Amino acid sequence: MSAWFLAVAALTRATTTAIFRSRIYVGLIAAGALLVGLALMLAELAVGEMVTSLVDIGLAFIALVISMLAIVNVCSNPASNSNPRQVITILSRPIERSAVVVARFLAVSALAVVASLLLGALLAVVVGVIGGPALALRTFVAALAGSLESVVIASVALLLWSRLGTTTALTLAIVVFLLGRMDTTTVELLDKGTFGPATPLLRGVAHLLPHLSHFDLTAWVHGGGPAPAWAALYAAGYATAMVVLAARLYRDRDFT
Amino acid sequence: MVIEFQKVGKVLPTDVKGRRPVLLREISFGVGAGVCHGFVGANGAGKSSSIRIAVGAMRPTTGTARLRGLDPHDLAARRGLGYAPDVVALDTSLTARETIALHWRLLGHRGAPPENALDVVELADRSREPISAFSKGMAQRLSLGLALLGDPDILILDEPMSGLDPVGRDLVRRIIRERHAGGATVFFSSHVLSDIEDLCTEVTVIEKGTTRYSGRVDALLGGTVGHRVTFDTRDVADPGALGLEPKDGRGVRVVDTDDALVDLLQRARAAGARIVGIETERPTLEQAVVALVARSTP
Repeated sequence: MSAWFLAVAALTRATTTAIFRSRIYVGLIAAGALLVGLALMLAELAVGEMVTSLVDIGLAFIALVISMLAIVNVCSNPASNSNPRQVITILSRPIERSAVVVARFLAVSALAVVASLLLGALLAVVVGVIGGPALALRTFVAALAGSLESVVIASVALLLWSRLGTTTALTLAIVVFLLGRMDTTTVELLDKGTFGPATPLLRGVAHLLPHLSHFDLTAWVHGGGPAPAWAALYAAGYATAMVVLAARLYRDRDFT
Repeated sequence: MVIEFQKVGKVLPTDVKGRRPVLLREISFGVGAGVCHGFVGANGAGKSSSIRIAVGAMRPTTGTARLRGLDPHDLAARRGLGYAPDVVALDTSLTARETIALHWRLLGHRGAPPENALDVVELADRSREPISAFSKGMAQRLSLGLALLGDPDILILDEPMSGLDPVGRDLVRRIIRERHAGGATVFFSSHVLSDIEDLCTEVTVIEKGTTRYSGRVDALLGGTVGHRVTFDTRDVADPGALGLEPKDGRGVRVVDTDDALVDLLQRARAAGARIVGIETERPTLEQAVVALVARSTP
């Protein structure tokens, strides 16, 4: 077991370094900073509700950027386990394949959290100037807790990547992200029976998809809604299940 | 056997066009401990696919593949294995040193890798540079250095000389020779058959996913291509009768069988031609492989 942890640690470190040095990572963080600026501009248009709008739009933009960062880096990062030949070289070592999967998840999740720390701090500073330190702190915590959404979507992307090619996994992960974001609407439509005889099947599928609305903490920032602890619990459970499944699928994958 | 393939076949799952690509039909060979074994075949013959099965990256659809007598997916089978792929695939954002450190830990070692880990591939002075700054040849040497890390007793190299300059190729040949002399089992594929002839005692030839030959190199080379006889023709009245076209008092005739050689020598003696030299030409491995494939192609 200690050899497994050693392999996970080594791969996580190498993957983190590779992603951190990549243009994709730096580019997405820069895009996130620009979107925080855009949120401020849009909030100025909301007469009388500037702070509320800034928090809502800013958190939404950050969540979007961090989730994209997670999906892109899981499915196509330049790290040592993306190119098939790199994978084969790594897997020719006496390591369990699950170490590659877990390391990839840990590296991407850690960098997503770091990115949300940076962007959350930026948004909190802007919110603090307009709305005061208490609101700034809640905004920062919400941004950080929102990074759990990226952890969940990273685990879904990992599951898809464990068996599929880069493009297919990337596309499907984005589709799952969009469906996960619309979970509340989807449940309402299912409850109304909108999909006719397909409703039971779709309800089953909807249960399997991540419910990303758990990570929308804008209501909590404004003084209502569930606390971030519930979001953390949901993220931990869902992501663990996905990573375990991904490791199982990756174990039997052929690298042709 | 250290590496053993018995009737290994590999068919991929049905693709989007409804086809089931066949990578390997029936590959069989064995590599004994301490042997340097070459692996030969045209592009697409199945060399890289076979090697991927041998290192545990793919499972055969039919037949059995063994590494140290175990399934290559078994961790114990891959302990002490060094592998370098046909095309260099490394994290270009990492430095050579970081890459070596990663693989050192994947081998189960704690702490930093040996300082001299890159000496053997002559990259010690470039260890702190990102791999993105490396030339193709340097990256290939680093890839070989990774395969040699931890002093493996089995080396599996997929076309280790391709894309290297003459100095780089000489380095790879030297390393293979040294490792083999040190007792390691070396299995490598190459299109440069003179390298295999020079380094290996055994060879496996595959074609279209099927083994055509597996055994000793000298057995494959077998007989002779011909005999080249040089005569002093100054005292010969009619060199043309011996099939010679003399130039500067000498004539050369090449015959392709032992019987033809005996006949020529008897007639030359009768005609008064003095023999200056006889050279027996053996086929090169390249000629032998081409002949083997030609024989087996319907």
